[in-house]
Amino acid sequence: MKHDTEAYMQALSAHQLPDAPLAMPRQELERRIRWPRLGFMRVLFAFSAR
Amino acid sequence: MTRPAPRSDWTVPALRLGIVAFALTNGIIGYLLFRGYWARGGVDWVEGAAGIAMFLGLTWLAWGAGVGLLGLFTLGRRPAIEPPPATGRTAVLVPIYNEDPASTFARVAAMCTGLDRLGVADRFDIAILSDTTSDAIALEEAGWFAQLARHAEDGCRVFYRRREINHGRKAGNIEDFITRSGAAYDYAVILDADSLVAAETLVAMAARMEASPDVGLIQTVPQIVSGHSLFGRIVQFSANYYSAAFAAGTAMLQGAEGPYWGHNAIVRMRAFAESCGLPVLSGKPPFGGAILSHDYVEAALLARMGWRVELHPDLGGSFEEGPENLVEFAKRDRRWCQGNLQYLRLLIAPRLRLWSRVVFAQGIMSYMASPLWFAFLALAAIAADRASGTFWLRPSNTGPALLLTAQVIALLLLPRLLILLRGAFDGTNRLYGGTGRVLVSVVCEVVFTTALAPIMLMVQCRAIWQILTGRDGGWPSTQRGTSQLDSVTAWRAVGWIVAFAAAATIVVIVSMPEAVAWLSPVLVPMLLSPFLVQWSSGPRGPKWLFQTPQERSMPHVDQDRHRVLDSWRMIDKAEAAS
Repeated sequence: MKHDTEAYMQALSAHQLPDAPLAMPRQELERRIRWPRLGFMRVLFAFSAR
Repeated sequence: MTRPAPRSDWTVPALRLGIVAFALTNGIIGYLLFRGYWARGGVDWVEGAAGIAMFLGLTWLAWGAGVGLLGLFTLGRRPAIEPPPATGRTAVLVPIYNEDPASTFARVAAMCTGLDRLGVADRFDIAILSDTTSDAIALEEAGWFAQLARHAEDGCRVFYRRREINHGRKAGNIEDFITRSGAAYDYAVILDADSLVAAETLVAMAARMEASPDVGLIQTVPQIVSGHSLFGRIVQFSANYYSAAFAAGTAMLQGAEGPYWGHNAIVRMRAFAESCGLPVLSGKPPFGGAILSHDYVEAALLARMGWRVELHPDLGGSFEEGPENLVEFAKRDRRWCQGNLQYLRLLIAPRLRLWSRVVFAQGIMSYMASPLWFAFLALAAIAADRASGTFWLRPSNTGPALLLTAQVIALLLLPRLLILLRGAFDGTNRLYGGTGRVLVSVVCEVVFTTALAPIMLMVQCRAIWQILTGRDGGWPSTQRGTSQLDSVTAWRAVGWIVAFAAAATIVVIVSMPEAVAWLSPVLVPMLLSPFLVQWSSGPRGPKWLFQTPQERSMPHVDQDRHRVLDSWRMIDKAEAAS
């Protein structure tokens, strides 16, 4: 294709997206798992000590 | 935005229970037959593990077959009384990423022509959303956009925007549009660069959306067109011929909770904006970072907010292109695999509908089935070696072995056979060239996909291995239209499969020669994989084989696309010569 950059830029500037913003809030997808770390370790130690 | 009260429908939960029962029953029957195969007192851990892999693999196989069978019984049930054309405004979004601009923009021009012909061009704007990273392709895009803008001068409005930074990939590209311009529209039709949708379908999509205020998304069933190579035409034939039944089954099963396949769908702009802002997952890729298979997640989020997400298989005039060879297919599959394995993290996402979680599990299983079958083959071979001679067919275990084989073959072939029979009676086969030709095409398709199955199994196993070991597949662009592979490319892509199969063959010949015949349907295609991949990437076979209705009679919108592209090429040549 023969390039005419100036003509392209004119065409592009005449076809810019409309300015009509719409909010798109972030959704929560990750569940925070609170591992009972200390209790779990105690059980593990108690089990391994037997 | 206020959401309408949900509709109550007991059919969908009943069907869901039915399909779960059907799949589990098949898995259990398969497991029991497999246990009966040994016909010994007990089962050791290797045989037990092989049995579990068999149970999971068969359950998954039965799930797919069940969806097809369900679709067969519900096909054509929905008499479409089209609502009046929508009064709301629709943006048609075309996200592109290092694509061939001439053919992409010619599709846009064809859709513009159709909308103009129907006299509804003022209700539809088309936005080309470029994420192109190559400056050279971006310059081409600007040039071809100038052609498109001239073409659409008196019709629909066309926009072009290029992002410098591709934050969030395709989902981020759509989000960028919505946050900049979403408030100007009631609906958005989301396409891919290779999508082509008839103007009548665009109008019907918007009309259905406006007529059902509780619907957040309507997905069409895109038909694959423009396949040229043997591989491309087989994918095209099987997708088109079988998809009606499978899509009808999926629509019945999913009800108001999906599916969304990421393109050739319409969304309610405000519902999508308020529900589908995707977070970046904590941690690094492949499991963290941007959500790759965003479509299922967006469907789940819409459903979570109370919006209906519906599949409308009766909407025709929706097209896309498919991969032309196995290398391109595997490249796309690698991306989808990584995205679907990310669902492992989203299975327990808060407040999702139960069925959305099932859909995530389905997405994961569609890739995990390959390592399961691989594990089954490996464990069964080890078990056979340990049993030394007692594994193979004997009078005492011939019954379970034959029944198990029959079960697997039935699950694979029964839906295809019934679709063929139904097509012979309801006239569908005539659209594909008649029942005789369809029968030959189906048989050849079964042979080809059976040969390809072990290769795809290996490709998917490797993809999963790469992902589990933390290797990100990145975002490679799709090479559309490229087809014929040379032998170097084919060997580079699947040479490792030949090496693996050669080593496995030697081990089998040395340690259990009686298993060679049993394993040959898996090992031979692997050993021949570079030849199969290269051979199928070219145009092969007569035109009547694997013929689709779109090949026999080109849709109007595709005719328009060809006309536009031809005229643009002529103008381009003339300008280059001057």
